[in-house]
Amino acid sequence: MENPFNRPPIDVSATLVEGNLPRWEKDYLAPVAASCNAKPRLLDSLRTGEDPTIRDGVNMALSHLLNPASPKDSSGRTAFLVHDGTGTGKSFQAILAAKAMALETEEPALVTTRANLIPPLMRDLERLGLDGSQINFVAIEQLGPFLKEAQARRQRFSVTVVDEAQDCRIPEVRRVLDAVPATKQLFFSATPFHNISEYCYFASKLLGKSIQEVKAELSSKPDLHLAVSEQIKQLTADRAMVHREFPFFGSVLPPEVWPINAESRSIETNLVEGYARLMKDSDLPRRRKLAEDLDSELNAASDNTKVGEVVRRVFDALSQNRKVILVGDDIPVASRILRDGDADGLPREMPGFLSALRAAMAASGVECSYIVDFPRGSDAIPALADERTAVADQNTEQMGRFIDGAYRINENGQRVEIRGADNKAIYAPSQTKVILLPYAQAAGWPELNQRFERAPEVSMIMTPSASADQFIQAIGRGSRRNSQGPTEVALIANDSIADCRRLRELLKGLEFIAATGSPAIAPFVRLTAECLDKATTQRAVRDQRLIQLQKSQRMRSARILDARRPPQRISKSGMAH
Amino acid sequence: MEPLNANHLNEPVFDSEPLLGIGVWEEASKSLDAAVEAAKDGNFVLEQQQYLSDLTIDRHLHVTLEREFVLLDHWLRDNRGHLESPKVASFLGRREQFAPLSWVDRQERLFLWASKHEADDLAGSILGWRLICRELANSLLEWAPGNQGDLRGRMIVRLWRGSLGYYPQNRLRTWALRFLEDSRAPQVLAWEGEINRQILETHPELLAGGQ
Repeated sequence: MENPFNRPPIDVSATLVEGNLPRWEKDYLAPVAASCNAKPRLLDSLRTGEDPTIRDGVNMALSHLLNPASPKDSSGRTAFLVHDGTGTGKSFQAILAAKAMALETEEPALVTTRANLIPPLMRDLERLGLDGSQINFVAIEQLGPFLKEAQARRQRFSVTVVDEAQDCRIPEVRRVLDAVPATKQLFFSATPFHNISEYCYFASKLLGKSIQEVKAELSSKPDLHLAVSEQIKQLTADRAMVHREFPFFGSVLPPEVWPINAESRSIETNLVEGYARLMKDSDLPRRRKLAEDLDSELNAASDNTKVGEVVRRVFDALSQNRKVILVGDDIPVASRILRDGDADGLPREMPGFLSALRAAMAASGVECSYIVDFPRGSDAIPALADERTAVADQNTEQMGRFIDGAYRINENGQRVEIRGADNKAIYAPSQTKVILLPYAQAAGWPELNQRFERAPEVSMIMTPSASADQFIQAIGRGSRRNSQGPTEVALIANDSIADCRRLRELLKGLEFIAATGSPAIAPFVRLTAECLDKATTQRAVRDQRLIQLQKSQRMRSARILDARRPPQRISKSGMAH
Repeated sequence: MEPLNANHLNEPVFDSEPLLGIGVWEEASKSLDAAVEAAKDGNFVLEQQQYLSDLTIDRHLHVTLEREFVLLDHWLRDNRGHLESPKVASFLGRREQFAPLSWVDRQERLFLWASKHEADDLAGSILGWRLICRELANSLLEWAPGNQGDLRGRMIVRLWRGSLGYYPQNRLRTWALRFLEDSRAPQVLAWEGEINRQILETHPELLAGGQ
């Protein structure tokens, strides 16, 4: 399989408008020069190299932002969205666009993103050989106080450049960005919209309409996905956004859906009926939570039937010298309905799926790296910050064991790559070959990319998740784990109620993301649709067989009953007594 | 299973501005930005900042409703024979359901406790209460921008700052108590009443003391 990262990314925008994407006319990058003592090689290659991705992105953005005829939102701002996938050079574009805009308008640019992402941006600035003049790098977290000072100085900015703009889902981020004294906004994100609300925010910015207008426009159409696709096509043709990305580098195994056995079916029935009884006597809030708990129990029951099959696949992969990333839920359940078979009759406890796998693997002598989910709410609640930090440290250590490459731990306890005389990272095999990753951590697991040609190829084994966002985050990050080799993805599903529901939700979410034009998502839309189709068909056939079986059983019982019944006296009227 | 979402008024919304001569909620929206900015801490990550901002908004809403009650109480004492005084007296009757401000901050304790004791029936109710309030708050956030000519919608657009709140029950409670005429409001107070009853019966220690 050819490595797609060796070629420029797919120009999704050009495909959308069937190649009729208007070219930019002015090269705003031309005046951007490296500082006097820097080597301008990288900058020059971006300006004139064979991959035009970065130069096109910057020029298209500036052409749109500087065009007085471009739409303006309700606060009078013009916006442009660079919806480029991972690895396409968004950070370089963000820096270069800021620099070019400052040169063009003679007003400084403001570049903002999360605080922890500012240092990598500064390193990119250095790699490009640029100095920081005319660019203010300010963490979004610090924007409030910064703007207060800027206001006092009557400072204005030519543009607000927002890297990792998916953070605009946070209401306070939206507010603070609209408080910056700049009439232009330039957004960069690989994942700007995963649902209709996030989409409407960016569409309203790019179309110069209110969010309500955008929503009303979309909901007036019979097919939401088609309406979104059409709108994106229009925004692309109007040069308000650009989208390039790499295809998925790997293969998707054909769908296999396992039938659940009679015992699992009986557990499903008991759970559904038991929860219905609980809900009957509950108020609305409790019913709401019970509905969620029923899903968790059904999920756990379904996933626990997969442990054997997944372990078998892991061993297959390991025997082929592959590394394995296993993604699933890890939510332990103490059943509200099912009881242990022993005399105590205590609630039956089911371990989280990944925990069960970990135990099964350990029993077979395979040690796994194990990513732990953060405590609920710990991203937001300051009181849980310490607990979160402890989990994050533990996860980083676990991740480190799964990554190939030689390293040492420095005096601050940080992992430092060991490089050879040629300044290339030295290869050493990882300590573990298997990592268990909970879906809840798909976006937050510590990423340590390895780019060794000698590193083993990676297999990903996924179980269904109701969240398309988490599913795609997991695949995206997993498949980039070793960008030198392809990744093989398998989805392990069965025809349980839980998997049918999760696959349905997953498909709905993936179809929305696909409607926004991501080519890398196409194989997973197909995979999920096929799995869902198989699961529901298998279930329907089985249910039909069950109904037939019950019918014939009833008839047989009736016949037996009839045979045992003493002959009835027939009255004169012909009615049996 | 769904909360009641239909926009229906059982009687006209009570408006205190013509009587007090000031728009209490209008003033509150003007002072909100400063209150939120003052509570922000640049050392916190974005999600934590949003959380703190949400709690500040919840407190601001609570304090504003309290202020409206106090001002109307004064007005009523000075205007016993006024044509509108029965309406005002009826509005002030809602104070009986007005929880102390500490109830806003107590939500964190309830949430953390419930998250650690999910198997407990009360925990299920507390977490379910939050979920159902999220759904209702979300539908109100969607509804409000098209209804800014109405006090109910205007309050949401200007004072919720586009957020459901981390504990949406906080802002919903103030909204429901202020606009009890709205058919969506009584259920909010009923859910809360039921949760309070359950806490008092099974885990009264969760209500003891301040934060």
